[in-house]
Amino acid sequence: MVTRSTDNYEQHKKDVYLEIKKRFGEERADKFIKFYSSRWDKFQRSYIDYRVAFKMVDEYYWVKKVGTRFYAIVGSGGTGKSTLAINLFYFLDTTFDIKRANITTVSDFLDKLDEYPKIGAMKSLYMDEPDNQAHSLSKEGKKIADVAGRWRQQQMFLGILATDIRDIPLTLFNKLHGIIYLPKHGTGIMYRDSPNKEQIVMNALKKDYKQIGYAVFYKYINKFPNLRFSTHKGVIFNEEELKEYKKIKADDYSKTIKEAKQILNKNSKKYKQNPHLKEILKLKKKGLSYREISKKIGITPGRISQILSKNAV
Amino acid sequence: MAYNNKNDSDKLAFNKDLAKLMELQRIEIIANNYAIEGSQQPRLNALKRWYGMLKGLLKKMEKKDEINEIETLFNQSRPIKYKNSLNVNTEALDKLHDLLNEMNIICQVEFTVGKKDDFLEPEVEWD
Repeated sequence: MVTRSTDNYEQHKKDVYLEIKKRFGEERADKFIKFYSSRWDKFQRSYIDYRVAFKMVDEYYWVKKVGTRFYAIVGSGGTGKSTLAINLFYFLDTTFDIKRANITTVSDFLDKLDEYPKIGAMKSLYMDEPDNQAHSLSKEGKKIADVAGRWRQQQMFLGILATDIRDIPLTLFNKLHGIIYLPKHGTGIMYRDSPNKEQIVMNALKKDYKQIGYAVFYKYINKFPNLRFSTHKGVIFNEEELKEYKKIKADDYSKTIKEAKQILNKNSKKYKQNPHLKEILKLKKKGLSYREISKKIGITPGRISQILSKNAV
Repeated sequence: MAYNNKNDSDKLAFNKDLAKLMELQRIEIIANNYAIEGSQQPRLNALKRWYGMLKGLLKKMEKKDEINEIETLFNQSRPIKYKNSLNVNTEALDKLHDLLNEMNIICQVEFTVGKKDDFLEPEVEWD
């Protein structure tokens, strides 16, 4: 049994060391504990499950040797996606800061990505519920896919947070290496593709998610390797940083509300002011079909239907 | 507050603080991390003891009505050995968790399946 780091950090490290030594040998245990200490000694506690940390050290070396890794963290609101992401991405890159914890659009994400060296960056970055939903076949979608297709060489730890898997733009979903699902506060399940072992789970998850939703994460529990772990309370930020983080989040939310209001107002004005609406309604009342109305006022039946439905007639 | 039922001293600690816990009506029980590689028996024993403690707690809290429902869910959710691995009815386990949470009993019962179940295997050399 491993002692909790919040109860006794030094004992926790000793226990973790022994666990890993027993399973993977002394060399790996030595390297792991050095990495682990470099992250958590200053807090005198750990902020992520040591088994997740073990996998993340492996990911660190993967990024160093092979290239960028890209993870999704999904789960309904309040399950701790942001908390886990902050702690996880700090673990991978200690320069991770508050500014990187508030990226909410694909465009901001790409801007930030552009700030780092294009080879061997070894930085972590994630987007939190991005609102940019470019269709995979649109010009924007293709460009995003193009960037994702080449980001391997930049050697980054990338992530995306989403309430629903379907919120992840398809172009980006196809590039995921792993996914973490948080079913409820305090627990998580991690899956990832292991091409070396011919285990490709991501496609299966995506396909079945449409039918059965989050239950998909339990469907494959016996089929693909996965890690069920505990999440920790609290984040690595201090009180001041936390205040700033919350303020940025609130501002971002307020901005989103304003944008939504603008769009709704614009749409309602657009359709209320449609010059044909009055005439269409008049002719419709007389019992004319869309085709007949179309001939009289010179717009297509499809457009007539659109005007009526947008005005909830 | 977390308890494990690995040994007798934990059990004693559990009984000692039971009154306090009942006052708080909150208990956190961790029943994972008991598997010994190559054998699933210790995990099953741990689960059985965990359940025993939970039942005791519910009786003292006079939650007799809930005991039957919990027993059913418990029996459905306990792992079953099948072809050298454990099969867990996660749906029943989730229901059990939900029911206990509703009763303000925070519990954590986790199963991972297979022999090498506590870690994801490393895929690259760390150098």
